[in-house]
Amino acid sequence: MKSKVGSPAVPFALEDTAGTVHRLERYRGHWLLIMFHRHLL
Amino acid sequence: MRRHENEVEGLNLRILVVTFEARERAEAYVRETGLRWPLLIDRQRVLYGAYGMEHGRWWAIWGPATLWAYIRLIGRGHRPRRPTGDIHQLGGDILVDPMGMVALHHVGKGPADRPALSALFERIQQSQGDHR
Repeated sequence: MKSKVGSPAVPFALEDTAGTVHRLERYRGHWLLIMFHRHLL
Repeated sequence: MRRHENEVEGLNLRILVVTFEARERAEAYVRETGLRWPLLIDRQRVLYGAYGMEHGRWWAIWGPATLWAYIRLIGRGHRPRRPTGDIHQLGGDILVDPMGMVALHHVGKGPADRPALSALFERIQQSQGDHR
């Protein structure tokens, strides 16, 4: 896959384990590191 | 990553962790590890797919780099569980800048392939310095 560096981040709306929905736009103005796990150890 | 918590404190950085595993497993993981960042659940792997994180090659998953990564984990006192999820699913890291643009796009080739966090933090610090 071609690198997305320099492109707008992919929008998302995902729920966390506490039931809170996180959206990309909520993090505008901050650096955001999204760490994708493989299977949980 | 948890060893770098102090470095994160000083940065304008938010961290999200994403898993494709079932909610029950994700909740147990948070309880067991005391994870301090939100663990988002992407069961359909839509966001994984959007960043090109698909299935890894057999050798990358089971090769010596993986074995070494597990040895290091065990050496730090972590006791890996028997995997319950899809062990071939790749992970990775995406860094998004404050304007919403992708600054780093790293798809891991295997469990041991992750970017150096210290380099990533330096990059953010440099950028923050440039804007002062």
